Amino acid sequence: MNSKNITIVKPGAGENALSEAYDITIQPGHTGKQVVEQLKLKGEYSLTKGDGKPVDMLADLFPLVENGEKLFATTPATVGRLAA
Amino acid sequence: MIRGMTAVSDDFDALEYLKTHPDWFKKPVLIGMNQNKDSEDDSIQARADRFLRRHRPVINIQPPITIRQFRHIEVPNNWLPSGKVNQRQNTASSIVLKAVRPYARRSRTSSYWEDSGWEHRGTNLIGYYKAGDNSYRGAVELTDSSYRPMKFYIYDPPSVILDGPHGACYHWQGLSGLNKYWIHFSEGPANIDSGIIQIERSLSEALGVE
Repeated sequence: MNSKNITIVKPGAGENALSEAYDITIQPGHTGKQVVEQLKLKGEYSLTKGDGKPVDMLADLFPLVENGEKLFATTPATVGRLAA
Repeated sequence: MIRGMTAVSDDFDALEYLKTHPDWFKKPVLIGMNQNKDSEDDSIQARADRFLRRHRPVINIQPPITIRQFRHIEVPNNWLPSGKVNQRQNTASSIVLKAVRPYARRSRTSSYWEDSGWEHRGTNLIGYYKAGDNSYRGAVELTDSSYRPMKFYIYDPPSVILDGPHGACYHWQGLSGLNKYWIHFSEGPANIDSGIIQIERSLSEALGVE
């Protein structure tokens, strides 16, 4: 199989905001960074697998995901560091 | 005169093959092939053949078709394939094969926190942060106000977090008798998923688990 269909989930911003799903087809060589750029998501997003593990945004995404897998697009947040 | 059309395929490799093998267009298009038998062959050549056969009524009008008539074949490498066959443009004098930009069908779906089993309880979300095989009970205090950010809490966090370099950012809220900590974000999450995922990553990092 030379392509995989995956779903990118962009979380809603508020309590009641529903998440948006983007179904997309990737092929070998496509990176997470390219996928996020192609979807034209505003802001700095990274991808996370369903088990919470981060996706290397510069690595080839194809071998890292299964066909039909759901990835979550998240925005930056820093835990446990006091503001300078 | 060739009746032209725009053919948009979702098979990137087959289009690439046709692009680099112009003689393929001179190949007779077989009519009445065994579709079931053919569908088992997933080679690029077979897929290219299937692509041409799908457009047999056009291809058969004036074969062979030269590469000059396919000069518009363009498959940019950084495009993702998808889409559908569009046969509406039947008046052109050439056949255009092209891949399309990534197909991004938007719909509504469940969030990370929903998939992870978090649930509404009043104005809070209650669930568990995952860190490897460990899980820690947590809560998210929700708000509709953009001026009052969401608050993330964890119950009974591991000592490695509290004794670590960022322990000061876990503020004990245990007056209710629960070993509950408010988690300070120096860069606040824009949504619930981002907050939960970042907390889980910090826990995994502190515990040394994946």
